[in-house]
Amino acid sequence: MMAGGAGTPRLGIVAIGVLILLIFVAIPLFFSQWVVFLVTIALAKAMVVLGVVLLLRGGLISFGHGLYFAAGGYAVGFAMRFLQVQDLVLLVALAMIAGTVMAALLGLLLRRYRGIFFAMLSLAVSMILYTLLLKFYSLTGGTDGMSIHAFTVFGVRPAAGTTRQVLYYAVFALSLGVLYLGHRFAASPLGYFMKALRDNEIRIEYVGASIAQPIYFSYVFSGALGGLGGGLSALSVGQISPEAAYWTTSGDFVFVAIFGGAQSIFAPFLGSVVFEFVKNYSVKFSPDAWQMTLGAVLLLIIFFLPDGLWSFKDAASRLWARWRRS
Amino acid sequence: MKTEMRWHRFYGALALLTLVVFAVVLSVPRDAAMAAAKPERLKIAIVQFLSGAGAPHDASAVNTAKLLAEKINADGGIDGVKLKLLIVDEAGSTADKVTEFRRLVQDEKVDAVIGYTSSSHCLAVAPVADELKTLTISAICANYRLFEQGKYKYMFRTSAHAVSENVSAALYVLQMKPDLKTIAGLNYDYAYGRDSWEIFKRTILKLKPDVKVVGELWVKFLAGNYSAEISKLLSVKPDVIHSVNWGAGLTALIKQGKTRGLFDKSLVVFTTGLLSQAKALPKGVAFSGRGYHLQFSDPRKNPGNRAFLEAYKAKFGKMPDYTGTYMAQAILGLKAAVERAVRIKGGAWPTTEEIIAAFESSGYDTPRGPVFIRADHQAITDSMWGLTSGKIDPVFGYPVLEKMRVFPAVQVNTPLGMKTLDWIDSWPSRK
Amino acid sequence: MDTATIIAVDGLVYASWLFIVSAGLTFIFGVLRILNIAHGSIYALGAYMGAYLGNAFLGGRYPGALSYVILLVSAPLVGVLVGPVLERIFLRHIYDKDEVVGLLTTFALFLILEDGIKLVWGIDPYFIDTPFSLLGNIPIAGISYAVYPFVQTGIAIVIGTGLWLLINRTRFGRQVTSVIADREISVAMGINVARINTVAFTIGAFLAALGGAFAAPMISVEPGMGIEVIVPAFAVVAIGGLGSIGGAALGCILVGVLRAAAVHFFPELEMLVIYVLMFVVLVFRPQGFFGAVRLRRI
Repeated sequence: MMAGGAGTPRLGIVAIGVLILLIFVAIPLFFSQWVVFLVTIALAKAMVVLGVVLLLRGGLISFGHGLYFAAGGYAVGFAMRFLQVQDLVLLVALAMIAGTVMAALLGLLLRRYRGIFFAMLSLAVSMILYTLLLKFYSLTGGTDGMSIHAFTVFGVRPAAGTTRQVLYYAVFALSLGVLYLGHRFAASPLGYFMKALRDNEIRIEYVGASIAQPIYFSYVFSGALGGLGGGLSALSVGQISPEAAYWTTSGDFVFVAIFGGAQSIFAPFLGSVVFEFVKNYSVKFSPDAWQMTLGAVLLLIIFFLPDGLWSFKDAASRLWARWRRS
Repeated sequence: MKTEMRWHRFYGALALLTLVVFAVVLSVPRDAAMAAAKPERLKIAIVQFLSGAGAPHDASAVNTAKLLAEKINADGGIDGVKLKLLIVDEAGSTADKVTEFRRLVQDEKVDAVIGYTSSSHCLAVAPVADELKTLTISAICANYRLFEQGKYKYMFRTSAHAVSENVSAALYVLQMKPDLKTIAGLNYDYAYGRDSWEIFKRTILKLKPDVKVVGELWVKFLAGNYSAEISKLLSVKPDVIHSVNWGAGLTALIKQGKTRGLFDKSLVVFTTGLLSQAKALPKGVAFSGRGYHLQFSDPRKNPGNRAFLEAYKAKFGKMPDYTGTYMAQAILGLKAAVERAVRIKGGAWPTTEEIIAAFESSGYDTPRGPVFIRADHQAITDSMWGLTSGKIDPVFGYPVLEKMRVFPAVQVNTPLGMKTLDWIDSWPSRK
Repeated sequence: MDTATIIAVDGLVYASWLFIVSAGLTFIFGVLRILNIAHGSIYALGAYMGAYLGNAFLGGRYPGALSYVILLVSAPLVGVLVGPVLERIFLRHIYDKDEVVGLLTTFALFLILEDGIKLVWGIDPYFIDTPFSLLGNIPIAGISYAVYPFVQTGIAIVIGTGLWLLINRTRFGRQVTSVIADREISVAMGINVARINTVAFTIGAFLAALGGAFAAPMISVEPGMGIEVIVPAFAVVAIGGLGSIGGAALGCILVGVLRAAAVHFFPELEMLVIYVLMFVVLVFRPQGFFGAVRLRRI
């Protein structure tokens, strides 16, 4: 893809940027509130999935990202219940910090593992957290979970009926931020390192580069994303419960990672949105077999579109190029 | 060499993502105009477990919903408006259920939602019901904190919760074994298990402080392998064993315990049993379906209960578990509230808020007897226990309980405005 | 009353139940290099088949010994129906791909099978009581134990021995060992690796179904029972070493005894035992007790 003349790309980029903003801003105005809610949840979860994807590119399968998802959610819950924090910005920051701190601790251990062992250890750790969240009943509310309500934005409580919109815009803005950070990460030496790690780890060592450190930083970033997504999700749903740390929740994130594709930082967002809608409609149209439908969809993706939904764009652009040449 | 950022790729991809998301969102059918005053049909979503471990439990609830809806419609509906049920599976994560609740209200346009057995779900849905101003009735949710910790305008619960069944269990046990010395708990490790054991334990210790707790065992939710737990209980030989275990886990516990003689040595108390499980139990086990057993309000004498049981048997070939009666409490409560609101309004169709006002502080009749809804939207009912007898009722076919005791509502329900644990602590100690 | 004996016996009972299932899981991983999440569903299938056949063919009432035969028959039936189908249609195509793909494929199969079971058998519980109640109880160390779980112990021992004999004393076993060591060379040597894969997966499926069938008399066969066995089986396989049958046995006993000890002394810790043990083993000896250390290939 060649850069055009100096002025054209600049104008084109601005125009596209404005169009994107308009579309996303318009969604709450023209669509039903539950659709807005669904998109909000999908975007929040997409951040967690991006965390999984960043590790997947290095050949590390995290089957325990629910841990960070739960950490973020419970950070919000605890802050509200024990510290009386209500400010949205502070809560979101706390969620992200919680994810970062947990990842910083666990990353020290997990960075030495690869492949199936990484998966199993991450699963074990997340299940330990799940059990602890369940058991420390008086603190966490156990399986009932913690209720999360009534946040303020810079001291102002959102007007009744606008909570959904406020959260939607907040999540949307943060998604843009996450995409920006993710893009910089992927284009940075750290991002390229992860690809190299997956291809051939030993060659990296021969070249003299350290492996443990970059993996660690990637892991911490991945945990931060997980915490952020968890906090936003908890704020949207209004509740956090231990099931966030259960292995099937982590499995869902990996599912969406593959579903969307691991090749691009945009893929998790696409995958997450499509997945949430597919899931909801599966439940509506095949209430007795929605799990089977999801399983079948996953198999179809694995066999026929192994690079995920996002790879559709490559196929499409190839067709487009061929059409233009003819 | 500096790695190029390739921003044009970034923007291109962002644009593509936006378009696709927009397309997905567009694919959703749009909001129709809101319905006019008196609806053609009263659309009610019934959200109960249709799959997974909760399915056998909720089956009676779902069946009862269908049965009663048919009967109400056959009688002309509620003030002439017929019911249309939308049966939805409660299985799924809490986030999914909240999303689905919103979809039911804003996409399916239901007028009311009844259901949510799982405590986690009913707690998560309550504030959303208020946000979306939709009347929501929990038929079976057991969590006692629902109205103790929060005030909800649009949420109601038409059945009693963990407090009444466990307080009455304790009272029953003290009546059956007045000299009891030791108690033990074997419960699923989750909120309902923890709460129930706590309430049961406190009640016993308050009323008989010299009782010793010799075991507090926690098993994974729905666990099926009780070898070690039964061994422990057989070793310590408590006078009373309390368990809220239900579903597949309870069936396994009954099987394994029966063979090993667990029920011979201790008075075992099961709070959440199905009729099939009562039939599987040996004699002398304290049994209840969350504080209810359909033997009460003797169907031979109570025409309401008899009609319900006969109709259920005719349609489904067996007796309903407690969840069936609980669902009846919900549907009949809704009917009574709407009818009352219509009367108050002089025959015009009421708004949701008017139905709510009519629902509060009202009473209505159900197959189990009268149910009273308090100002805080919590139902108050009596609570009953009995011992399994091994006998089957010759007419209806349900397992017969002996030494049944019915505890009046005021004795086993936390008074309005009080916290349960405070209430139990405030009782005068007996010796 | 000897608490130590009680704990040991309880541990043995739990281990016996779990070993049959986890032996299959670790065997599948050893040969195919896939962690089979669908193992839990096959376990459930075995239980459903056993209970269903028991009720269908003998109307729920059967002379004692025949009920055992039914259980023994259900397992190979499920194994033979499910194993080759899953392996040939789905797993065959993903051997050369990433490990995560294998995990996700079996996860997808698990989702499909769970709903499939529900569609076929509905949501009502199934029971097959006779094998359990027939054998009554026996006093050990001062308390009463059901005799039936020791049947599972017997089966576990037979399975363990059988697998050992299969791998070490038969031609098929030598071929399997070769495939485990190096797939490519095995193909080059003329071993029909494709057939070995199918047979290995079928054996694993048979074991999962056997575990389920023999668990059925103790429990209520209901939707969702498969999930209960997956994580303990995984944990035990990780503890013992992926691919090692002996390791799985050791892992099962360790977990069983520690769980029983927790129940008797620290009931709150019982749920944590298995995850903490898995964590500790993975941290200090990632390959498990008897697992082979994985070499990094250039």
